[in-house]
Amino acid sequence: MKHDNVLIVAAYDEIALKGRKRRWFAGLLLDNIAAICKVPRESVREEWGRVYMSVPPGRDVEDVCGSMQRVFGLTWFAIATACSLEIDAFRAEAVTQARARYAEGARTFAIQTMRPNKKFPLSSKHVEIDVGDAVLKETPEYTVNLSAPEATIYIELRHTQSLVYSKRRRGPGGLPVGSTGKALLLLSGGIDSPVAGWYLQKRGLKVDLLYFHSPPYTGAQAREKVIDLARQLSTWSGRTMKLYVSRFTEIQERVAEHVGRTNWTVSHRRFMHMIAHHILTQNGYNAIATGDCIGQVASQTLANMNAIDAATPDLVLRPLVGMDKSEIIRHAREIGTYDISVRPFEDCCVLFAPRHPTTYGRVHVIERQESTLDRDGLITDALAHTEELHFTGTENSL
Amino acid sequence: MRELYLDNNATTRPDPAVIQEMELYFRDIYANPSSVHRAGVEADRALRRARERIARLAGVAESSIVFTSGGTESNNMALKGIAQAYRQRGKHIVTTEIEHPAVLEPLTQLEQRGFEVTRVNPRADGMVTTENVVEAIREDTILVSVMHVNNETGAILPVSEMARRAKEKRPHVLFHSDGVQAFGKIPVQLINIDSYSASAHKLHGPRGVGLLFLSPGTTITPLLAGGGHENGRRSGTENLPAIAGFARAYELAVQAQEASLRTLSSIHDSFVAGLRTLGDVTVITPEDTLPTTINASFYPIPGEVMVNALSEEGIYVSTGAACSNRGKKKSHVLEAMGIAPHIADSSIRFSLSRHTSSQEMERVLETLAKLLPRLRTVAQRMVS
Repeated sequence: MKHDNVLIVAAYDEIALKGRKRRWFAGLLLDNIAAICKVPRESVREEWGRVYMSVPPGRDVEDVCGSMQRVFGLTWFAIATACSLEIDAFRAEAVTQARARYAEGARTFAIQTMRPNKKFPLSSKHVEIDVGDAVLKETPEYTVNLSAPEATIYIELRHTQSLVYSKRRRGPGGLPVGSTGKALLLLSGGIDSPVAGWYLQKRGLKVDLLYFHSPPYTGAQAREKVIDLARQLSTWSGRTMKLYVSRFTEIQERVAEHVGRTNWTVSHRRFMHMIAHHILTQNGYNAIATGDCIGQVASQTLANMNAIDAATPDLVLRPLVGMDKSEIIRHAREIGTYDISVRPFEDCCVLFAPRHPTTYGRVHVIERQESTLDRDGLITDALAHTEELHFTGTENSL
Repeated sequence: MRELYLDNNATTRPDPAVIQEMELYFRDIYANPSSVHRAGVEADRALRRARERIARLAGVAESSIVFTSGGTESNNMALKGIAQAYRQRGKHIVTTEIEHPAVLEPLTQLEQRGFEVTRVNPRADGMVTTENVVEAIREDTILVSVMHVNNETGAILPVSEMARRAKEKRPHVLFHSDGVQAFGKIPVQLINIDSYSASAHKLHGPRGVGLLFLSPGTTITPLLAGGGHENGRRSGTENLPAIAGFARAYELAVQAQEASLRTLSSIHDSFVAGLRTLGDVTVITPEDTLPTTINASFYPIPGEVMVNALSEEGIYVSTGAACSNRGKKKSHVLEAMGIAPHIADSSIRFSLSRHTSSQEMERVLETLAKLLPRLRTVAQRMVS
């Protein structure tokens, strides 16, 4: 395939087409495609519910396709060849692509034509029969199968040109990142929270991250791991992803003094949400998000989630509540965070984990125990010791 | 914040003179020493020179040096190579419980291949006695392997004496010693020792190079077969820049040895005395010890918390016995010494080099005095 007539065609969810916000929505999608694929914004355009990208000279098409797989909002995409509107031209291209698919093992095929150019003189049906005949003449071993073909050759007849492609690849689906709001995700370094971050982005949320470190009870290795997770998650974002690193040491030490041992974990989580609340209001986030799922560990019972959520007035999103651990792990592997999450390192946060944590945290009891602490002072101090790192999809810029 | 690197048993900072010497070989003398052209001959001459320099200082024949990729390879080569070559004589091997994994693991592999291994216990102070080693030697013992200096405690084991006594009991027994933590730091007497491992990066040399001394007459089955380098004992194109760097690092270490041992002993003693003034501290002090290793336990503060806390202050040390997030990873050395698990889990290792100054160790003591009260209070609450 010659490079100058190769382009990438992509489709987004029809539902999104509806409504007055369509243009804004499509604009966001194009911005995200350009940012994630690292191509100039002018090389991406939208027309009649389709997205077209001319691959910049010098860029490997497969490499760009790899990035397209990370653009939320895309249902499918394909490498297409642009031809003129002369039937001889697109027929020849369709025959070539059909033969290539035969060589790859396909034995049945179909031609599918889309004709947004209503001025094109031939009907879709006519084009399909004409091209189908030509394919059979070239490759007589092929059988036509219109209901379940092994290879489908798509022909799009557009206003100035025709497009021929045969392999639709699945996009990640969902909605363009940035289209539905901003969430602040508590990132722990474990397996679950990065997966939660992926799902939040899938539904169009711009996600930033909040990590609590507790030197000397947590070390440099743990922080490094979270940085790598943030970098990985940011490759789906298409915009700068922030990682707030907040210092939790003093809170852990004070909680250990003032709160009953069985309630430590719940109280820690409440403080994390209280700190998140401040970052939320100062930076315009719409929700706190966590990687909790129900009943997995003692702090994830409904009673404890209630006690945690009572600490702030904010909406708390928990996209993993319905998932099994095995599903989460499978997903973490797919998005490339699993190997980072399970990286071994010396960790001592277990130091502050009670041997028998409560599964039924009573809000008023924890509240009363916490009230003997200078909560505001501790939170202000933690906020003052919060650094902000930025990730842009490839490497971090400090 | 000035960084203070006290993890020299893990690896050391390469000496600038070593880097300078290596650069010549990366830039100019890059030919393969086996090549017949003039550049190859020049490289071969440089290789011979490096071998001579090490042999002369160590007091051994040049032919007894086999260059390897480092301590792990040297130990594997000696243990597996000797066991394989002498298996007709017997299948029993004697070693100690406190060896490095680079000795213990190859021996475990040999057990799976039908050899029998006796592991001699250390005393509570980390020393292994000659009597206990000699006692473990049987009729069918072919090999005894005892490390020269222990990496966790600094214990110096009397390997020359052990080798002599072992051969008195069983003249045919071969004696291997893992000298990775000793080579260049203390004098080595290789009489009666048949093979001895060393590594360059523990003495301010480059990584990726080590050696095995093999006494004349000791044969080994090579681990790596190939082009027949190193007299057929270790194939693979010679790592000339690293070997030259190794020779330089060893020369510098030996030149400084006597003086730095004196200085380090006094630094060690005042540091240990200082540690004891910090309240509840357990210091492991073997009867004979290399002054560059100090293993101390600050129970109830977990070792990794101490490592992190010191790291925040720019002081880099290691845990004595590491706890990982995949469960407790015990120190087999401290366990074999009978150190209580809670003390072992709280232990950290300061490992010094000949460049460490007394002022630097003063700074460590001051930092510890600053950190310990708060950490003790927190940790005490956790264990109570």
